Amino acid sequence: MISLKDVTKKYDDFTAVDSISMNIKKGELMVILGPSGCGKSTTLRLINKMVPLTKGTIKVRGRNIDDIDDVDLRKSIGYVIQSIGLFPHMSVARNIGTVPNLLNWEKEIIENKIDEMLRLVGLSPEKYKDKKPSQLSGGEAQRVGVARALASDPDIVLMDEPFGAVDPINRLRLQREFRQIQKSLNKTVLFVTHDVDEALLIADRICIMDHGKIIQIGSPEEIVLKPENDFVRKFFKGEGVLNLLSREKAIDYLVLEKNLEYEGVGDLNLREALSQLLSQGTERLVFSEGFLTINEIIIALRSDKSDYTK
Amino acid sequence: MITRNKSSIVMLVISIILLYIVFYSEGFEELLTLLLSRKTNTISRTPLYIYFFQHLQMVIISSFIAIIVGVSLGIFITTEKGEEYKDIFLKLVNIGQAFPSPALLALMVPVLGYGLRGALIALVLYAFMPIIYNTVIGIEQVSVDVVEAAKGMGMNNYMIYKKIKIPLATKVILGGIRTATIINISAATLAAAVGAGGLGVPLVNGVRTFDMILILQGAIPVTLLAIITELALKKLELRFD
Repeated sequence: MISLKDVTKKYDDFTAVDSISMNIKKGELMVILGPSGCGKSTTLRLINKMVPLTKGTIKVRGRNIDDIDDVDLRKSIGYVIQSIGLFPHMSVARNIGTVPNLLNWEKEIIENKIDEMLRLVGLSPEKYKDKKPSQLSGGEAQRVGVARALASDPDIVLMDEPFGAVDPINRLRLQREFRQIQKSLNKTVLFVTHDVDEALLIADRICIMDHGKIIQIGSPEEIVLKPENDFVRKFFKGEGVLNLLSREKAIDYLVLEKNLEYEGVGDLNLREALSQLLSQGTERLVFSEGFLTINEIIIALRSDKSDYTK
Repeated sequence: MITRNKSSIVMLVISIILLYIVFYSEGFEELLTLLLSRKTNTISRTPLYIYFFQHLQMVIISSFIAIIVGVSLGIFITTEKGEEYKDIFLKLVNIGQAFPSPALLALMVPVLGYGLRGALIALVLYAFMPIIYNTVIGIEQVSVDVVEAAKGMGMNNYMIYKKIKIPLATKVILGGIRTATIINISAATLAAAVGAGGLGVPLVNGVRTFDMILILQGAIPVTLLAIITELALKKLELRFD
């Protein structure tokens, strides 16, 4: 869907992006992870031509972006930035309707789309449509930002630390919801962040960057369990495994047996399950559907589930 | 809400007073005679309302031209193409403002002769500074993030100006227009010196003959007009909050 080949971006003497190549497949959520100044945002902005390329080729949907008009390219790609940049003089509805309006959609279709988008991001259309951005909380504004980026139904969405300015509790909720939305709509997403937890929670694949170069690309499991070098290892501070566990639902790893007197497992994830094991000091967690021991958790980590690695 | 209503009432009252002064100038003159306990020496004059309309005409025409040209110029120098002229323009406008207004008007006479034209040009030049300045500031204060988002969503430069930058700068631009118009209402009194008429005529004559009543007959309507304009334009600005 998006392919980068030997892409380089130089600002005078400074090389922001240094000859990187990667392929992002349709429906994939690729996270570029790295410390500030590593070139991750620049990489993102090269793709929608917000900054011009110095060297290399970028193809979007198989076409070289040099051959596509800047404005047409950007209209076809959803874009969310950290500061969101909602238009303060427009209502939430008009903000969301921006790109459909630019594309000259019919009024009625736009109106329906606005309602649909607000519901998708968990905001009630009646309550939020006519609000101004200044009347929204940080989390709500972020949701509107996502709704705006998805409103014209672009198959590709670029996101630059979209949840960076939200408090931790809301951030986690947004991340989970966003991942569900992304999977259900089958969007191709390139997501930039410096937040390790966020990357491990939502990514299909992670690309780790430093000083403008790609250090390692792989599934979260590969990156955490088989780090290419010390930089990658240090990045996760030895806790990456725990983050991996939060990606997995406990129900998928239960040893099945009926224990009707116990409660259901619900949507408990493996990280929470491990935490319960440790805090209860028991060897197995029993649910109505089955039980879980430390062995199942280890097995979960060792199995390779990624569809995108090969 | 209360303050808004209050300003409407104040505006209405002042407007009625102004109309009374302008159209019933004999009564106003009698009142001033009574208050100052002295008489005016000048008899048989052009009625005050003619001066008032000349004044109004000068202010409206010069402000209108200054707004159209000033806002366009201001917008132009914030664009990529106009950026290189920005410093020069702002400096020129600043110097123009520092130049004494009577001198500017006087300089128009040898070039354009006596009359309305010279006065209008001087007034337009005078109104430029606050308008151009506020237009530039208004547009440049629009958050970089908002512009970045607009660009990233596929708006071209024209769209970004039309839908984002200008609407968001409107309040600041209106502030500049208000300042310029007020300056013009007061500066237009000087136009009498170049024979363009207006409320400056009784004022200047009054100064020349030490005629207090004549001075006030020119000065009071000018002041009231300025206050009404200030209130009205301020009200308009508040709509863009």
